[in-house]
Amino acid sequence: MSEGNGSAPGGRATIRISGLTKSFGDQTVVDIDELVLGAKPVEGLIGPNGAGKTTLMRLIMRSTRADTGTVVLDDGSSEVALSKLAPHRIASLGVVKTNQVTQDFAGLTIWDSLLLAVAQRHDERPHRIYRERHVVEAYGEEIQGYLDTFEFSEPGGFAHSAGEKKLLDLIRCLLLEPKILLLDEPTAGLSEEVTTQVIEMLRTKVAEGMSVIIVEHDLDVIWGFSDVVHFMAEGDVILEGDPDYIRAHSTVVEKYLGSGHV
Amino acid sequence: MFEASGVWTGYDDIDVIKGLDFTVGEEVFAILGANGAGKTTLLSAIAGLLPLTSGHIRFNGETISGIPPWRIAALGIGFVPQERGVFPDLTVLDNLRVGGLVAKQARGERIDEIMELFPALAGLRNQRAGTLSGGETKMVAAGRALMQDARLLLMDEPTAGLSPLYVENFFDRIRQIHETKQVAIIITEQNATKALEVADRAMVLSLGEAMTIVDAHDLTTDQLRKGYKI
Repeated sequence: MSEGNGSAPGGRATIRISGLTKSFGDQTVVDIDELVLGAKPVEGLIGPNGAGKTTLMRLIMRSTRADTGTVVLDDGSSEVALSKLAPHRIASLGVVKTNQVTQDFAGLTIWDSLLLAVAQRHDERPHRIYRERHVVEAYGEEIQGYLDTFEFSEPGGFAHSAGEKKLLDLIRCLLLEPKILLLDEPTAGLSEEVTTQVIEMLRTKVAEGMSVIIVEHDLDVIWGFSDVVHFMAEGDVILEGDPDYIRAHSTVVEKYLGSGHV
Repeated sequence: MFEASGVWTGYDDIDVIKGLDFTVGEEVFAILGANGAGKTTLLSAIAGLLPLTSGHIRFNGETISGIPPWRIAALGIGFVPQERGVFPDLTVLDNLRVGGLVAKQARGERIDEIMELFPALAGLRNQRAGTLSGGETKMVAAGRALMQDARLLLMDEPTAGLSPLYVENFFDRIRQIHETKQVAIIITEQNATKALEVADRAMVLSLGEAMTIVDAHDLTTDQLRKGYKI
């Protein structure tokens, strides 16, 4: 669907997808000929239920294996086939994803959980992070910055609520300093106030060079935050454009509401 | 017949349904909304699979919020979930028999009625449900719920993932179930057009709140677009 060679202006890394397919049983859930993600700072990925949005993100991260096709990370100077790498290697290359259903390290405190993310970023062995005080001090300020921004009920203890776990997941991802952050419904279940804080935090990171690809069921977030929107239906991206163009397009209305309401 | 008052529910501390008030009579009632609106969560709460945070749900004069799902089923509320609505290792016939365990009417008689409603199942009665196509599976799930002598059927996006041919056929069956068996139906759908063709009234749900509740033929495109935020 997208045109171009995948190298983003201004040095942004892009994800180039070719011939990507995935079926579950007799149902094809993703079938994309050509698609480039990440050329713009914030890209929304929307579509009706079952369009294949979450599966596409999982295929990029290789937490789900594709049937066919390639996914290439292009940072302007080199190309790496993500479709041949393990998920943790993809993360270490700067492509990181939050989870729709939060992955919880229930036995770790907020600090330990965040230190683990820092260890991943610096290729530190986790035991070194936990045992050596100076290592904790080196990264502590960065972690504390996030904890000061978002109010946890017990910042020195555990994340208690689903909302806090969701924030923790997001902060863990940001601590990895991603080039491209894939967000799968990041504001689901967060209050309006915290949603605003999250979007502001993401805007800051985007201004610093991070790219965002976001799936979000609250379309007001998509319209207000995205530079470009990719519209998916039946496994493929069938429209791309700025938020106003997509929002007004008759195909979008038809796919969401049915043909009688265009 | 059915009444939801001040219903709040969700998962952990996340509020998904935020203070819903609505009633359903002897009718087909469509709940429309984009993904994430709370449609599945609401049906799960009505079926007793999810506790309410506050509010109450009454069915035929009896409060059903807070009682176990099997008792709600026995009172006549059948739930057809979007997925996993059948026992895959049981045959079609045994799936229907399981549904009939809580019914008063003779099971044989009721199975004949289901086969009449879904003729495609007749030739598949001894086939394992796990080997059926998506459309056939939805028929078995609906049939299983009808076997329990349901007076109110909760159908969660029954046509999701089905081919267009099945979708048309299934919506015809929904109206037929309502009219021939006098079963009230609450159906959730993302495809508003198809649902409004068979519904008497509709509620547009947006992020857990009711944007509007109106007669199906009075629902405007603007109201829908506002609810779906498009």
